[in-house]
Amino acid sequence: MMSVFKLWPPKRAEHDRFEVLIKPHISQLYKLAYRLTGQNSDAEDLVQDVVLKLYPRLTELESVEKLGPWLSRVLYRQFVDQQRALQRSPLDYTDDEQPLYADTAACTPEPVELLESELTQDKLQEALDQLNPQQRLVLLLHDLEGYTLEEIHFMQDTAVGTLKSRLHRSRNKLREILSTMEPFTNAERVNS
Amino acid sequence: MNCTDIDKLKDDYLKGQLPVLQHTATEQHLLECESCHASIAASRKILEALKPLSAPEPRKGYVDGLFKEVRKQYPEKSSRHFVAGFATAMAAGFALWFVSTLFEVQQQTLPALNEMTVSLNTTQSVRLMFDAPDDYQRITLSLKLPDNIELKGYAGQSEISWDTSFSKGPNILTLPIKAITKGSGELIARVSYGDKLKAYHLVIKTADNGVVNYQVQPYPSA
Repeated sequence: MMSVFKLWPPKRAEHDRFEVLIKPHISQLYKLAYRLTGQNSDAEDLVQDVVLKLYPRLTELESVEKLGPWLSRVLYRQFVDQQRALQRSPLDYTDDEQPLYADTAACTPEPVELLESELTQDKLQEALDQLNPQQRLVLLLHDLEGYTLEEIHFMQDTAVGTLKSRLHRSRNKLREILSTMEPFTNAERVNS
Repeated sequence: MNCTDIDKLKDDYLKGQLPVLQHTATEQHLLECESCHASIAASRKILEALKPLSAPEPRKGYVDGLFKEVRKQYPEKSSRHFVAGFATAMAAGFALWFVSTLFEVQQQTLPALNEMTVSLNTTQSVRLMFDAPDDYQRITLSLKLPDNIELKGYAGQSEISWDTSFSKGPNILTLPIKAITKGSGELIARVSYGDKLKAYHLVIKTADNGVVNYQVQPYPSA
């Protein structure tokens, strides 16, 4: 005879179950939301919207195998829906139609000055701001937040090959932008 | 390997994701090509410089406030939803309904008037409906399963109990059961609240020939 098994905890514990399940992912969700919105307050609102929507789906959540990527996908879709509702779609850029390596000729002179100059956070942020939102997002998610291309693919429903191209182009464009920013132009002038 | 190849491979190279042969060939090219060497070094420098730009953590108190808001917007619900845990496990099939009003007497055992026959290895649903005259907290529900039956998701568990609460009105519990062996046995469901107890009996037979015959005799409200 098996011992008596507690099938459900008291009803009150539903909130606790939800919290135990979701809480470990809040930091990751918040960072993603911050990357999408660019603002702390907007990130907070986005995460809250998602969490409140998820509560009634507790049973479904408990059956999700890889909850982190699943939650990221839900949050991303919520963000896109909100943007559509606002009738502005910052992710709709078309420069990904360009051939992947068209902008990088063989042995294109790289900014040697970049190696010798200090990359301040302000300078980097300014350069990142000049990328389009799609390019910036894939670069930040992959290179900073540690998402794999497969995870970004799962989140955005964008083909891995497309993401890889976008990432490559983003990095090249960032390098290009940084190479033309002060003080590099000054350095070029000094060197020439 | 030429400069174009290096340009295509440099992201994977920087991430250390190149196969050994390509990695070696890349390194060889970098030794010979000043331009590619500078390109790779610049990329590495950018990657390093990006690190401090990681997104911030949520502010202190945000997470606690978030779950407080959840509790505020979703106060404790009635237990009529406690079937949700089983809902996804429900299989198509017939359902046997027990309907009873709770606790009008101190202790009551309903006779085993109800009988059902189930196919071997097929999940089917039994639904118990408890018509509660009032809200009840700290209800204990217990199931005792016959040897030929298991509750889906709880293989090997012949006795299962849990605490819940009932809200006034109908509260439905759906049990996805599966006949695992041939034979016949009695499923007993007990509901207890304080010193009050109500038990329900259901005879479940496993069909010999795979044909399902069943007879539903809902027990009338007391």
